[in-house]
Amino acid sequence: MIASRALAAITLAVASLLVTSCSVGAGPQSGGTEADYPNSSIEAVVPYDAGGATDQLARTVISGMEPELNEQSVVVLNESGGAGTSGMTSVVNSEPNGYKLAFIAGGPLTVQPHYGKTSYSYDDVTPIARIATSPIVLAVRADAPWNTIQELVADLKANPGSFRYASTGVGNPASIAMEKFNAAAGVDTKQVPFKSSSETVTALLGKNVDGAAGLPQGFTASVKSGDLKILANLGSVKDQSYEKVPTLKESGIDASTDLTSGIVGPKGLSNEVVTALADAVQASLKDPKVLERISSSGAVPDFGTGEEYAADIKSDFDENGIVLKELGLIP
Amino acid sequence: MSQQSEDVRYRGSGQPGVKTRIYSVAVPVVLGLCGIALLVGSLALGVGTTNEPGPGLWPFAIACTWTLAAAAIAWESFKGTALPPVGPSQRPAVGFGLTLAFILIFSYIGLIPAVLIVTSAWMKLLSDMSWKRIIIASLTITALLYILFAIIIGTAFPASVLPIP
Amino acid sequence: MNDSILLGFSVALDPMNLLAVLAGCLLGVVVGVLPGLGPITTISILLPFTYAMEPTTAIILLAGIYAGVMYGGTVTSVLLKLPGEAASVVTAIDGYEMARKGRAGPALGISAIGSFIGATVALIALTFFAPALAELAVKLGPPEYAMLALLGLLLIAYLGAGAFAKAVVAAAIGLFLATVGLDPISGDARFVGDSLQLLDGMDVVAVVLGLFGIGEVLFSLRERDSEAELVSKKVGRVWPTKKDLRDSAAPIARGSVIGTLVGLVPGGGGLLSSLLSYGAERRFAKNPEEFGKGAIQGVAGPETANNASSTSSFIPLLSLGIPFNVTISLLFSVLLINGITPGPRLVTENPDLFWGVIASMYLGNVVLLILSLPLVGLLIQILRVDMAVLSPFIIVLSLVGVYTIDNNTWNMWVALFFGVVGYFMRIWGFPPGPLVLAFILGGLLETSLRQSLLLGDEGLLIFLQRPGSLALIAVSVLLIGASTFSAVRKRRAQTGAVEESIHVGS
Repeated sequence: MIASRALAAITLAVASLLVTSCSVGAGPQSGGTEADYPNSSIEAVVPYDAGGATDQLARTVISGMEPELNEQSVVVLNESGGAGTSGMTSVVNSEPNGYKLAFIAGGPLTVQPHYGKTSYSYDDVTPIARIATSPIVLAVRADAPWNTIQELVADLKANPGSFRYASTGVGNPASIAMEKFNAAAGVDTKQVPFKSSSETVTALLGKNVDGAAGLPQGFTASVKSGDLKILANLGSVKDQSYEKVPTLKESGIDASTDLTSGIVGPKGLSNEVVTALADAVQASLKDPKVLERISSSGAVPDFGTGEEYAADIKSDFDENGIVLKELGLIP
Repeated sequence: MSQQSEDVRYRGSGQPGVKTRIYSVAVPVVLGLCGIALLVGSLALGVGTTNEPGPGLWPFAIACTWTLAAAAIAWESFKGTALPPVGPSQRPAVGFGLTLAFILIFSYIGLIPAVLIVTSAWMKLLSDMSWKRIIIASLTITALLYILFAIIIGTAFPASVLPIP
Repeated sequence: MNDSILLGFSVALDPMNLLAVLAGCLLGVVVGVLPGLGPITTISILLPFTYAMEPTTAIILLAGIYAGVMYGGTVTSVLLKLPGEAASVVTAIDGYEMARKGRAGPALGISAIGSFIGATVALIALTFFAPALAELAVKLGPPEYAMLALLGLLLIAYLGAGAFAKAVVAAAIGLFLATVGLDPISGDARFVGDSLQLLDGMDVVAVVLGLFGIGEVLFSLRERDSEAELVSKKVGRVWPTKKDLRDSAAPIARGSVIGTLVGLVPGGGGLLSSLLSYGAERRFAKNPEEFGKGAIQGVAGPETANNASSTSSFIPLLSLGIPFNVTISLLFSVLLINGITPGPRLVTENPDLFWGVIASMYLGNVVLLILSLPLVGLLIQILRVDMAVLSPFIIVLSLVGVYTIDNNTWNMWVALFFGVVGYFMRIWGFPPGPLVLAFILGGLLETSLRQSLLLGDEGLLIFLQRPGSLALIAVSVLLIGASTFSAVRKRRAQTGAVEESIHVGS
């Protein structure tokens, strides 16, 4: 029993260090009437690992939302797994009372249901608010021969198949963006999928590939140090750190891929709850500290109402379906 | 390692009986059949070519290795190397049942009842401990786990019928 | 350089930062001891609190946790054969055998010393050669990762004792399990049936705790009383002997170098380095037959390498701004949230952060050594606890630990399934180590092999066209050649010995 006493002693020591964290881990709430919503803490499911882009965004926005929600705490729960579908499923199946929500970035709603393995469809949710939009960008080494996307297109037409780019996986936004670019510009690029954005940057810096597509955040450090440059913005929005880079549309190529992040709840949320939450998001996105943190991740704060966000989800879902079919990933 | 000494023991106990030999061959054969099932599965995924490798190429290579190695074990057994017997399995079965019970109670009732019930049942069924010691030990374990996971780490436990996990 | 280091220590010795080092290391060791709870879970829980801290203090705290977990992970591997994290699987093999022989104290002691030296060597490399090492890290690409993983896979054959064909089947099962889920290259779902949970693949911690923890406990139930296999009742001496230290010196030195270099491989760095170190030690040892039966070199080398590699994985973060594993990317996100972008300019733009973190890592190492050596004497007392109490405790602790991976009961079922698999593997003499290691390396191997094929125009030729992968191929070929040669020689010697003993017996 000496051992368990020792363990208990260590435990107590740590407990005193961490005693403040006790508030986390409340069970599911029994919501009150809608009029006084919210009257207890809200669970915010992030269906990805802690520390990822969506997790950072969720925690940042939440910090500005709580004062607007009767000072109730919004507790982040990282339920990763199944490419975001695990956490999504648990939210879809929860009571539509406004006490369990999901912070997502596209994927679990606009890509995964296409594979037919999810128990829900893209419209089995109540979209609450769009928070931010981030473009997909294409980065190349700073000493690469191309300075604009047109130069790359011209080079690719002369030497088809000579350009290899690193992506974060087939069917991910980066790969979908490049497929759309290929189709619109009439060129052929070869994709080499990697597991994470940091691996794509390493591969690019190490001259294993000629370019890398992904969210701007992954490239910030290397662009700042002068090792990489952003060649093209494959999306439609711009943050100040890459505002000089034209979008594909501005360069005369008709394709655009953005990743929108937002909050959804289970289907059947009442309008009062949706409005209360959307207002809180909107207020949070006016806080300069929140705006600065979002922008430092390369995303663009971009509030949208539930209806606007629902329209984004629908159009992304349809577009992804077409691209996934072309890639041969779905029948 | 003990495993080796067991191997040696069974090899040393003279010519194994027919039953032992059938069993010793059957285990690797079943394992080999699993390998063949994987082989079929990987072919279904599409093997592709070395320049355009399909999703099934790598599993195909694994399946081949698996099947061949299982065949090698089967051949060894056929030649007379007996596999150690499954042996006494009543107590392990009880242990398995309690582990299963733990997951179920944990999922549907809660952490505290699961730990209390399973640890005390374990000690009662699988050892000669007195009730007094069992109760002290299982209370200690429960308290330890509760403090660690529910208080310090703040784990979000599955929906519980009780107010506390 | 001296000024920078002085600046670093002045930052690190700030009372708040000093407290962060202490708290981080202590918390890390405690969490590391708990199976299933790794640095990722711990850091995720602390993340919201770090947002309120100074970025330097936050990083110091998290780096302390990371180092502490690596120390703590060894404890349960040695005492209970319950590897706390993937990199400790290798240590579990000889460490646990040492514990069974009543040498748990020396095993834990030498791990602490080795970890200290390994991490310090990697830190010295980080202090003085970070830019050069970062350059090396970038030069390595998928072909080199593939060949390193292949070398690791070959070395798995060295692990433990037992029939070769059985080890191969176990490794094949591990490789197969690694393919379950989404194909990393083509995006196809493989071997998942209708399960959404399987789409992400199986969690390595759930598999490890099932095979080792639950499987081992179930197996121990076969024997009725305290004669159980699980742990020896002997606690034995606490400190390593002079001979132990002498035997471990060279493995620790080699482990430091291997770990520092292999830490530069994204993903599998920790495990690969301990595996390569184990293989190297077995090759260099005068007593290779002792490996798998409690050789102290098999603990000292891999533990050193493991900690050296976790330290050197900071090099790509601090000098390139690229996080090489999940834990490091959590640290990365803390910096980003505070408006600091780690990268080549970090050292000039935020010298106090850069040098402060490095200095605090030196301090953290000393803290860990001071913390863990006296703890060894205390921790090995766990072996005195009655098996009847320890077995249900291991089961319950493993399962709850596995639940916390992503707050989902699914992983508990995975662990139970592998508990049963582990039980039968143990009965029939299939070693679980190769299964787990192949499972972890399998993903790295397949992905990088196929990436390499996509990178080159001439198929497999790419592996011969790059100096790095060519060198690794040469090492592998030499290794196979040498082990075939020594196996043949050994078999001859053995046949002779057996004949002799028969003669003596009759």
